[in-house]
Amino acid sequence: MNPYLIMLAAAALMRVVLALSDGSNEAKLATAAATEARASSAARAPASEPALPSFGLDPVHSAALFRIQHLQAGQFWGRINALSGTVAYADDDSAAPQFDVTASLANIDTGSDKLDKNLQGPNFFNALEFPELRFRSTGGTRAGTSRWRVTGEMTIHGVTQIIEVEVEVTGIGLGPTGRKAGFEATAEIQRSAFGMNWGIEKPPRMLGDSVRLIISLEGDEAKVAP
Amino acid sequence: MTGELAAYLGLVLGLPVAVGVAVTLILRRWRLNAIGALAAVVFAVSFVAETGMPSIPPSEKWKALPTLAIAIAIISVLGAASRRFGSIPCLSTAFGLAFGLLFTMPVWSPVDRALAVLAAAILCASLESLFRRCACISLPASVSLALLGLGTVFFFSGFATLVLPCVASAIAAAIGSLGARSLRGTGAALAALLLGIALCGDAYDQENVPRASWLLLLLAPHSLWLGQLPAMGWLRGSAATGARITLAAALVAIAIVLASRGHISSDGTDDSEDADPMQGIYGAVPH
Repeated sequence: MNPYLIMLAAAALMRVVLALSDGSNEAKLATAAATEARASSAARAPASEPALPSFGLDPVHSAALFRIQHLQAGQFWGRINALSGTVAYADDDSAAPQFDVTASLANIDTGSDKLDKNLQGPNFFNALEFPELRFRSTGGTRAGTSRWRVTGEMTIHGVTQIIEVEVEVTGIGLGPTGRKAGFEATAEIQRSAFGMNWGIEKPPRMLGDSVRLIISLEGDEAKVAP
Repeated sequence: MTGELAAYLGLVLGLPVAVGVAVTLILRRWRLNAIGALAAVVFAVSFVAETGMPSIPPSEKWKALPTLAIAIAIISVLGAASRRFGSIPCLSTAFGLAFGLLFTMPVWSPVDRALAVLAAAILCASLESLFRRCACISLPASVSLALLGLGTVFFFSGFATLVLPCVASAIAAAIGSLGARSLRGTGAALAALLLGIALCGDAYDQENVPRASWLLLLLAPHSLWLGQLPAMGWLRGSAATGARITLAAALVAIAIVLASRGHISSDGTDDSEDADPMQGIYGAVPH
């Protein structure tokens, strides 16, 4: 029995197991992207209608706040700064805004460096393997004047789930570089749905399951790439 | 809460150790003393009790550890069972598994990987060689100390999920290998298990635990060379056993001290607030 062949076979086996995990994540994302493309094309206006004006997100004025319960006691807030992406929105509020927003976990900010690192670590977000969160809208229904109930695909921790977000268009303004559009979105998600289960059930029940999100976005028309 | 905590510890520590001891007793009926299998099985059971059944393929790379552990357990049993095979196939397989895991770990530079491959080869060969030469209490003791050290360093690295599986393995290795006359054939497998766990710890470390900490923990079981080398021939009997265990304990203690210091100064400061190891996800004690 050739030891070199055994060694290579064992190494290959372990690599295949792990490579499959990568493939699995890619497959999930590819499936999500395909679903999004279908849903998006169905929800958006017909091709003959003009596309909605697009705004590139201003990272200085766009952030996500998250709230979660600690040790079944206090609710603490953290934020993810410098969101990036685009928002498409009609000035006359005639169509649901469309979002494609990405948050880098390197920008997580709870006010404690150690807590930031804990959250970025493998027990929670595993930022090493899944460095970004992403939300892509797939449709929306009107919930009032300048208010929309937007559905979309949220990808966290390599898992994509459909979620619903309450969106308020907070205003359209004019800045030195051009028009600006502001939005505030709120949502409630369960982190267990994204495969982040650590500390929910087992004592001392470090962090709760339910996460409240408040996302503040400001788009700049001049920031959109041609 | 106390009852809930006891149930949790029973699930993550008690159950795996009981399974490990049962496996050991079964193996001993066939005159097999597979400490590598014992440590690996207990690690895998505790891991699953802590994180839930991992998907196949695993959703995250570090969740391949139970797969590695089960493969190592099988190699370990085969190694202990087959005198005819000799240690080379087991050594090769164990090294190969560690090698495969190593090359898929995130954020490792090519130089890191090359050095780690070299280290993996040396560690597997060295421990296998030791297990063939040595059969005394210092062997399971040093392995237990290394696993206990890994659990402690995981606490400081913020990788809480792996703390108790390492502790469970340490307890099982200490209990299950008592009275074992020979542990030959399982050293390489055990080295690969320790290496796989330490690799994950280093790759996912968020708290600046120095790499030296992980390395010292991997080296701790190799303290058994004390008394085996020709120049150390004068060191025999209980004096040798005591010296080996003391050296292993010293290496583990240094690793823990280095890890705790790296944890304290992870942001370059050493003020009292950041020096609190319970800050972060555990919360902070008011000063």
